[in-house]
Amino acid sequence: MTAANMQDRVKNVVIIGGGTAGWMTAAGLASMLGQTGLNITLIESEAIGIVGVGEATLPHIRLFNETIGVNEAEFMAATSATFKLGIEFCDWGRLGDSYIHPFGEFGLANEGVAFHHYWRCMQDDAETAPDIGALDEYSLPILACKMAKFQPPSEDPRSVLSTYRYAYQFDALQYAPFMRDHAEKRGVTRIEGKVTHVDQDSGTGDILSVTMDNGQSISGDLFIDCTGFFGLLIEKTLETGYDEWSKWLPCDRAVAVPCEHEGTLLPYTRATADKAGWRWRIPLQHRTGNGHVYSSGFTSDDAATDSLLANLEGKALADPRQLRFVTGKRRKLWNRNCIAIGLSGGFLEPLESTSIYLIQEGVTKLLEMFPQTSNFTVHAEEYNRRMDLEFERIRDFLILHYHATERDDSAFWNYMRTMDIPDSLAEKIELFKSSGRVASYNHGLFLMPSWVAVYIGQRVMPQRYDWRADRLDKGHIKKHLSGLRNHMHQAAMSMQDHASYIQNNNMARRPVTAAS
Amino acid sequence: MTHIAPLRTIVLAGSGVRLALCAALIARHCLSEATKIIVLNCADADIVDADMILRPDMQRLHNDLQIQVDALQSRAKARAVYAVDCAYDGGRIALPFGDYGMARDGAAFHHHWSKGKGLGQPYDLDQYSPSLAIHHGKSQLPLAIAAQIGIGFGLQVDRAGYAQLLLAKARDLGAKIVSAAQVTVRKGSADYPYSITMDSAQFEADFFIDVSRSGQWAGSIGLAETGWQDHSLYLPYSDQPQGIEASHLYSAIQRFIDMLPTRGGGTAERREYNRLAQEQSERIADMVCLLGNDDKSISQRPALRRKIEVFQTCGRIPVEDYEVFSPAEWLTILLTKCGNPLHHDRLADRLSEQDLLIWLDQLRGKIGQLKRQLESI
Ligand SMILES: Cc1cc2nc3c(=O)[nH]c(=O)nc-3n(C[C@H](O)[C@H](O)[C@H](O)COP(=O)(O)OP(=O)(O)OC[C@H]3O[C@@H](n4cnc5c(N)ncnc54)[C@H](O)[C@@H]3O)c2cc1C
Repeated sequence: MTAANMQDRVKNVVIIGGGTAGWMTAAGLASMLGQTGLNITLIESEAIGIVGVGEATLPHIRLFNETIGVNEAEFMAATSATFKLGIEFCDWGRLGDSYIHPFGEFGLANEGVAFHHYWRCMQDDAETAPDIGALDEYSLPILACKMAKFQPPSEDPRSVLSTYRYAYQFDALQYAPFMRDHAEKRGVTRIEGKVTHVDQDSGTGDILSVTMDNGQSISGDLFIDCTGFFGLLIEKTLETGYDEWSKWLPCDRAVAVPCEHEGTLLPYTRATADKAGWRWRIPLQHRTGNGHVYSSGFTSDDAATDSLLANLEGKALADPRQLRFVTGKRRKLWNRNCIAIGLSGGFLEPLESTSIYLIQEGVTKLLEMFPQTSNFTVHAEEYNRRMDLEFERIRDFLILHYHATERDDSAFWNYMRTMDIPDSLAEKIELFKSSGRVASYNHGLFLMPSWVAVYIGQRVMPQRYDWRADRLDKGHIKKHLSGLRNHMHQAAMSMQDHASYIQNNNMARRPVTAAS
Repeated sequence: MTHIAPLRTIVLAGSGVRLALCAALIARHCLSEATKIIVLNCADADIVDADMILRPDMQRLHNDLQIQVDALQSRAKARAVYAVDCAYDGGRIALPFGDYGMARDGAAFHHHWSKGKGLGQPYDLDQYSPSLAIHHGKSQLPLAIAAQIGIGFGLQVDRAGYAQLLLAKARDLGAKIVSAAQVTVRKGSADYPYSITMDSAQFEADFFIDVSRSGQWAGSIGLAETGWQDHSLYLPYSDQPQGIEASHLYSAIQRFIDMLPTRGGGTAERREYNRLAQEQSERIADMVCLLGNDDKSISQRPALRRKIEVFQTCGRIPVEDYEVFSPAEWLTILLTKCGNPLHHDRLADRLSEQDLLIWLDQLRGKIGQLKRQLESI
């Protein structure tokens, strides 16, 4: 860098907001760029608090934790976390249906033909169908979910125990303090206070500084808006605009309540479709997180709360808490010298636990595109392009859950079933319906097994399968499938009990206190 | 029970390596008791008496077809290549198949190198490329050794020999190979969409694949451009940069196999195939355009423009959904044409200046050592 460049170097990053997004961003930047002369300041307001939900994650979070040097056992204990091998969807295709979207493969591909084609070929034949069973039976993580088992995947690619990945379910109120601890140890400065004023450059519109209610002013080169739904910088200050997707994802409210945990500790999240939305159940070590996501256009707050409370599996531990949101994303997640990460950037609703993943992607892509100097235009465009793609591809996957239904028992489901969907999704569904094939992309979160799980789980049965599956003799396939099923069953049985695994590996809860 | 009707007859027409590659792969994946593959090996219009380069991804094809190194060596005179020389508007340039140096602290190697340059280390980036070290070296590596040293390589093969090897493979797998002087393709009956006349014989086909470079038959059945239409496929052809021909063809056929239609079906599969094929062709066209440095065309290619702008600004190379060329290839040409980026990746600053210079020295030393070792073989 030239001396002139050095002067212009980005030195001060100011993060506003200390929820999951704020502290993940702080921890990510401090761990990766702390030693490059970057000063990171985080301002949060205890008076405002955090959204306090967001407890189910996706396997990618492990990479984030590893990259920033989080110790798994410490993390599990500090956040009362459990392991997660998938999400169970109840009542989505039809009332009474249930399937699990697993974090792993179905069966094994053979001769370039994906496993589900063989399964479909056998299941399609009245003679072989009775012996074949559900597709679920060929997924190790699904079997483990059903048996409440857990064990980290094997690193030996030949082992059936290598065919899955895992994520976590953690206490949202304990996660931010854990990340805070991690970030502060790596040099992040935390300031308590409410930002009441934002000072902008009169010419460029860039943010120069923020001022708190006690009059203290903090200036910076780059500002990260992690103020949650407030969108203090990205929207209230910069008026970036929001692309609303509520015509496809009309749920706009949630009510959440924790309850006592009873029974077996399950390694999966459950999402049960309700009359005008769906209810979540997330098992943690010390309690169960519950919530009801619904559309205010189709039900009332009271009815939604009643339905949530009526379905709790244990005694409520707090009063129900209401939340409001609009599904969609900011037109630009990086606008001028401000980047919106977390709920300030957008929200696609929590059905597939994608929000924390999007925070992680926001941080990772920011690290990749981190500007050396304050000339950001190209960085911002590239960052926005890549994040837009992430949001859009997740959006299509979420819409699929609502649209691929036979439910006609409420106005909500009638709307969802019959609404127009984005062309990008319509084409994917048509491809699967007609041939059992899944459209492929190199970028984007959800890969073939995820799409197959939801399609088949919600009764989008392919009319055809890859005819090359017929090249094998049916008796041979049957024998192979039966062997595979047994093998997977045995493997799942041999895994450890989920709760015992946590106990035996020094992961039982020891939350970090907020002030540590 | 759903009635799944496999294609009864797939007919391929063309010549040379293109035909042979397509025939072997289709025979490997589509032949069955119910499905015949007829390969019309036409006059030698496409055969050029020359060598051709196969990029490293072609190794997957050889594995899939179980073609052994010995056969490649003895029948196609294969030898390992580590880069391709290609022309660009400023002269000639070698695009390496393998990475430069190694990534560290989250930053790709060239950011460290670029920072090192700023600190006074004098060496060019190619000094840190094992691939280029071997490419520019004096010796030719035997394939068996190339396979052992763990650096990705492609092959230079004798075109005619390679074609024969693949065609023999197709035959062994059960494809029917027919030499044909004159082939005409017409739309057929309701039962068989195509009727093919070859010299005096006639075939009916459920699916027809035009493998010729020029789309010799595609026009007569209404296919103006490469792609999949109705029940026929006109496979793409690219010859620039060197080595892309076989890879482009291979991935196009593989994509077709991934979307293999049933008899009479395939609307959604066709759309998906064409989408993917189009994306891939765009990526090749991006590279050709950059090599040619046609400013007007560059301005009309958003993905390429983005690559140039982002690279110039911060040295990153944006990756599109369906990339064909490796980051090292893009880096080589971008660096040659655009010069050093304005800034290196901030992540490269995690390494202290002193450690950086020591590390760069060590890496260069190791590459020099490797080069000397290989030259002594
Ligand atoms: C109902 C629901 C369920 C969800 N479930 C999941 C899930 O299962 N999985 C998942 O991945 N995600 C889930 N999410 C999303 C997840 O909760 C969020 O992505 C995550 O909590 C990050 O929130 P945040 O940090 O952006 O915002 P918040 O937690 O709201 O934090 C905002 C921060 O900004 C501060 N702040 C605001 N204004 C000011 C100001 N003026 N001055 C100073 N500080 C200020 C606040 O004090 C707070 O610290 C869910 C969301 C909802 C609504």
